[in-house]
Amino acid sequence: MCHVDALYIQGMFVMNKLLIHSFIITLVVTMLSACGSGGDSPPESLPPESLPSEPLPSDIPQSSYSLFMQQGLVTITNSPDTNFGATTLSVWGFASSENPLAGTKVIPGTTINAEIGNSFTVSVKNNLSATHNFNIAKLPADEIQPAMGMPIAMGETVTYTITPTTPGIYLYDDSLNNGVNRSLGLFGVMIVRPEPIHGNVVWEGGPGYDKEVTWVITDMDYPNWNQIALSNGADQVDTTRYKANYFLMNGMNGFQAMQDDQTTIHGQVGETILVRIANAGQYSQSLHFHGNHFQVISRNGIQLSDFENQDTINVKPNETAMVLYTIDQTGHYPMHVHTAQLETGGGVYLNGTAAMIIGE
Amino acid sequence: MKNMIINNSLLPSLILTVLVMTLNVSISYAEKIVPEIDLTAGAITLSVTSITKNMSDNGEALEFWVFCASGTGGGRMCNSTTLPSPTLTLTPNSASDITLNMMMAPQEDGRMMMGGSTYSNPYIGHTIHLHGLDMETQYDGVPETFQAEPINNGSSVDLRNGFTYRINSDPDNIRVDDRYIGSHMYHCHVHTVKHLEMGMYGGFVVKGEGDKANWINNSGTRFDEEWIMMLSTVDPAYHTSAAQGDSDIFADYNPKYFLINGEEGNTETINPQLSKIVTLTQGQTKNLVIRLMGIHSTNAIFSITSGADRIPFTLYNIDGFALSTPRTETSVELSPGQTKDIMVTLDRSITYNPQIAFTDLRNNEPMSVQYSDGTVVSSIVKTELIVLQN
Repeated sequence: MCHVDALYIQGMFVMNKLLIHSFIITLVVTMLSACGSGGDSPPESLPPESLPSEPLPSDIPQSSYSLFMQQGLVTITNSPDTNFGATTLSVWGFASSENPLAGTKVIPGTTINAEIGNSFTVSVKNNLSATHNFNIAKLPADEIQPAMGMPIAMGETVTYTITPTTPGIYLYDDSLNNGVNRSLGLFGVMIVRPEPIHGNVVWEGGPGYDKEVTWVITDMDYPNWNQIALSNGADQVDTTRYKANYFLMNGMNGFQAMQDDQTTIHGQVGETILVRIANAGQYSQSLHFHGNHFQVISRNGIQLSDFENQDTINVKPNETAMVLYTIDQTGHYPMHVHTAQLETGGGVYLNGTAAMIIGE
Repeated sequence: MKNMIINNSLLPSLILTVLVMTLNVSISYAEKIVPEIDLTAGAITLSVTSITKNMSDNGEALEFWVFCASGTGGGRMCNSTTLPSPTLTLTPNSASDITLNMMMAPQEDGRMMMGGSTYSNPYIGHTIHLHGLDMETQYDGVPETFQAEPINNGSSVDLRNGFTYRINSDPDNIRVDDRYIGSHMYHCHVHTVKHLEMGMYGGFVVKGEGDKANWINNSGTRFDEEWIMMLSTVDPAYHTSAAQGDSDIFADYNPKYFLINGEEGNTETINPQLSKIVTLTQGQTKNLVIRLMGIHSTNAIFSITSGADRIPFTLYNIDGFALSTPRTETSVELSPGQTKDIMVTLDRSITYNPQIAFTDLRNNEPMSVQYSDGTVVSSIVKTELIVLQN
């Protein structure tokens, strides 16, 4: 360790005055946003100026969804502070198209948007080797047909009909191999909203909001789970040991997620943002928001009536939460996991679980 | 510095040793005393200095970095050094300034090696993040969102070098009001994966003003005694010189020491510095607030036992904000970055064991660690609360 005087320190920092919101990401970004950006779109260099006031096309419920279990890649970008960290992770995912183009995002899987009471179908095709399955956690058995969890053999498709009755965020996954299949990326979320006639409320008679973001977080023990599963089969992974070294926000490393307009909490002073959170990983993640406290309105599908004010929320594996964050001052603020080692990706700082909060 | 008040910190030693005799027991008692600084009394300056602690595995020596109240001479002039750093207190709506003096501060090396070549380490310097106070961007202590502010001569001051953090400085944007009466924290926000592990944290308590000074929150519920429990975990590898900048070491966290107020403990032996005595007169009842502050990097579960019994307590605040309805609990979880204020009522002579089980992020179970001589140590840290009624 060094001991230096103040003047020296000041000089050292002349070259390091980049703000997060002005980072220029010069790396090839192969994971694109879930709202359908083209594969050749340039990477964003600035944070979003605003979130759309109208629902995104991807938020409008569809009458049918097709999920394709595919192999894919997650591209981890460099830290702009140190130029370390770039790598590519091989993963599995519930892709939105069959044989997706290289670079198409596969994790988290396609977001299923639904309204209470309206039926829709989800066709799940297994394009991987070995048998897989499909489950939606916390969804009552009588709201999905046929029964969840049935084996889906290689090349087979199973079509489910779903009629949800309770608004919220639901985590879906492949539950086989003691969590290995989910850990490799076979997960996504289903968001169920009340009927539009009720306006922007989380549930009928529940709290209102102005905008919304969804955070699906996960972690990966890349050498001991991903690489073993991909080379020898998921059933060959020693699941008694797990030491995650990558932590992803919406399928992105921290420096990408902090630039992603669909991940950023962004609004005017006075606006309230609904944040839906799902942890598809193996580790608890303690998420700390700067700038303001938030209200916890739902945990694991249970709608709360006594909203507690917190600045940190621990979301355990397979758990979900919904919080309301009201922007009460201007400025740029981070949201980051406070479990400090989870702030890294392969040991590279701020390439773990993170997002930005922007008040205007 | 003339306005600074440091309670208990002028003692030659921070450790008070008291021998308590009762009819049947002799108790060696040495409660850890962490200095408390009242920010309401005026602006303060904090410096950073290094300390070395000998840990329980064969005296393993580890370097820690701590904030300390100082004069103008930097870390060498600190009045005292403790892990955790001094507790800061403030009353709602009060303005106060905290200046970070970087003179002689220990920090990461400016040049690092990776793959046979050198690179400039961006993670030198330090900041102060007032955790839970929801500060403005410029006073939030996050170098990635704010770097400098202009000063009078037209140049600028780097956030990580001599910056002044101003609390409630804008009358149109008072950040710390009555809602914040409760427990918060402060810590360095530079390269937190390294600097939190190194010990750069302390408690921050917002206390009611005047006759509200012993309110647990703005509801009016009073406490008589308080006990801060700052949770932290230590992986010795993170304390080495190789763990600087970006390093593979940070991808492999192996907590070996589990601390409350900077002190170790396990299920076999109660560390005397993790003990507290509360005395009652005949017929007296006292409310003890325990301020749980989580700067650790595992999950954690707090409970109070007495023999085989679990003692109920009341949870009043989470992250420094009052619950609308306090809850009676027999255990609460505390995750990294959280604070919780609980209260227990003491009404007779008894010994309780408030304790923390530091638990695994994957399965939420207590961990065990093997020392160099083969000894297996639990991650459950017990403290001792001795209630003596005269």
